[in-house]
Amino acid sequence: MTLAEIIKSKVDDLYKTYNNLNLEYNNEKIESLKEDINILTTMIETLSKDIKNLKDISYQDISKYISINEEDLKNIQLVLKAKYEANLSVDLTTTQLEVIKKILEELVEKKDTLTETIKKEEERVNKNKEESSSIEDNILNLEYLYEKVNNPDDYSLLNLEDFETLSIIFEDKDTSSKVKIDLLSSIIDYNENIEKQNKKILSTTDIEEVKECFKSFDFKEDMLRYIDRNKEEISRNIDLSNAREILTYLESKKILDKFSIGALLAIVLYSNVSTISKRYEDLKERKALFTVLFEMPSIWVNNLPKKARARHKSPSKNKDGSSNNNRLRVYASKISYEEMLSNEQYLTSIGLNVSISNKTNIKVLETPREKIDENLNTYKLYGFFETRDMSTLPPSTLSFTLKTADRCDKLIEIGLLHNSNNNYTITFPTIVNTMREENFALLYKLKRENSLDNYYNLIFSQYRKDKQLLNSCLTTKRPQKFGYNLGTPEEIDAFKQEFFIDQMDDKYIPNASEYEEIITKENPIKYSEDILTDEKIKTLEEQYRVDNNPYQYKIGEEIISRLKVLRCYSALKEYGITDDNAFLYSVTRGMYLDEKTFNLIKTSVKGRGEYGWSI
Amino acid sequence: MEYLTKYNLTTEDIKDITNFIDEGDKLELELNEERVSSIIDYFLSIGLTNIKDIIITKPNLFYDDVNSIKMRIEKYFNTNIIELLKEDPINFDLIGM
Repeated sequence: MTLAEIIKSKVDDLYKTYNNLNLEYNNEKIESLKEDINILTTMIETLSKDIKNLKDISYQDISKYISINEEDLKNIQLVLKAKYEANLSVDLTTTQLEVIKKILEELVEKKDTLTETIKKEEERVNKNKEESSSIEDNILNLEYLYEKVNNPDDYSLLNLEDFETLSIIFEDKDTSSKVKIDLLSSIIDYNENIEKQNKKILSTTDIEEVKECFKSFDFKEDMLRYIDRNKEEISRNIDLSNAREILTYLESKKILDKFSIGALLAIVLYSNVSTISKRYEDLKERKALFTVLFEMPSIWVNNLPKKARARHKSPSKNKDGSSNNNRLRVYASKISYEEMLSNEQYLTSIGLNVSISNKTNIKVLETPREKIDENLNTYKLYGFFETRDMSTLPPSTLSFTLKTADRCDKLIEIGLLHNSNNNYTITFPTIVNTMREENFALLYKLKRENSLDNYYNLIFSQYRKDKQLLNSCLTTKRPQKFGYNLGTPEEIDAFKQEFFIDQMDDKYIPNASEYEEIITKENPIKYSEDILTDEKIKTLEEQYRVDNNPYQYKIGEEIISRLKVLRCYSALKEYGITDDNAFLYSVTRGMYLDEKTFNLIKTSVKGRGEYGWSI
Repeated sequence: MEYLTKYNLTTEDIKDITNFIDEGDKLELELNEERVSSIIDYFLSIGLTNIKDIIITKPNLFYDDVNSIKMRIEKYFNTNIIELLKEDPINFDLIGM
């Protein structure tokens, strides 16, 4: 078996296991069990209160749950009725008292058994969910590797990450030894083939030769400067004969001078004539050879499909905060043309002004669909379209890479989204992406220290009343803002340390980092409706929900994003985490809190209702 | 992105920009000097000199064609949009950009 065949076979097996996992609760069964538990609880409570109540419980009701002698029960009930209804001087015998005691014990036992059954059902589903999540990861990793080994344009050797993926097969006890030996052998074959096919992987090309190659096609100083700037990546990856072939082909089609410099370099490095000619002929035939396409290298490169691309890690930063080692590769593999077309169709269908041919709002067209959907769903959830039409949204807001929902929570909490007199964020949604983190911290503090009117007077520009514009110190980098030094990372850190608690410190909320890890991983942008029936949430809703505002809880003067609490607590509850600390973390997550405010929130949420806190 | 210095941006300004925008934006700016310059030249020609703030607030604009940008802004020339953009580039939001 080849490497690809072995991987494919494992993926198929995993899909089978995955599809057989039952992730659904048997709702009908659980509902019926819960009903029985309720009946049993009532019965137990009634009997525990006074055994005379046994006279009113029928044999059918009891025998549904425990086995009991009908005659015995009848006799007991006769005595009870005689004593308590006819006021006769009779008493239960010791044996009859024993029978009642036994009935009670068996009812309690039955209730415990039913409760345990529900618990086991929940455990089964949770276990299956965990297993399915792990299988999903394995499938995704193996599919990525499958795409890699099947991609004729990928000349990279199997690396450490690939071997980690292959360990899924090596560690599987159900995979036969023969397959594992075949796998080892196929790995060696694969890497040997790659080496034979492309010696350039193991060597570098003299950058002067690269420059000469481009000069021979009449490229001038500007191109040579770009080559110099990217010399490390180019000399490591260029195949000069492939480069000449590409340049010759583009020249023959009279399109060589149409390409932008960056795009051409990326194409020469990461594509080949076969892919380029196919794309060119296709675009020409469809009369879609727009000038702008010559600035988008990813269109001319045989890009991996979406799933595999999602696995590519974003380039890591070096010490200077830049990454020069593979930026042309990243540029060349941004998105496939087909995905861009699909995005264009989708975004146009919702009324947004995007266009490949006119090169309008290209960034969002190059954004993976999953991210576009995530952003759009977030804006829907956070009520952006209550007062503005979706078609008026700046399309760039759908390409934001930060966690939009988390940013919206903060904007709600600092009074810039869905606060009584202020909806700045709806008018200027770009603030979701551009508000600097230190400004969030500063605004939490300023809002806390001022009346709402004073706060808004402080943070909004005073000389332009027709449009609400934030004070310029909040939209630009300044060394000082409202008297605080916030010019350097050190000053920002010092500011945060001086005025706010560190929520990740266990002394405030034990296990906070565990909760954060789950929420970050899940990145929830919705919540389960069931969460609204949770006792802790119900208490919060009753005590602190702001009237006519589905976005806020308010504790003292502190606004808390309601959607944050529901999203986060719902995500934690999915993991079976429902303790008080998890709830408190869901309430305070992401806020810049001083000790006093943290304690206010903690104690406010604490002594409410019958649910005591262990914190 | 050194070419931005010809628009009077300092090395510190360029550092601020690279610290703020995402990796994709950085690549777009670094690898497309010609296009980015044509867009900056247009902004300067209509009196928008706050180039650093525009790049930080609206890096997406630099992915587009200068003619597409011109068309979208010029539609609003009879309003006070230029004045607003000079004050704060977030006002591009008002014209859907």
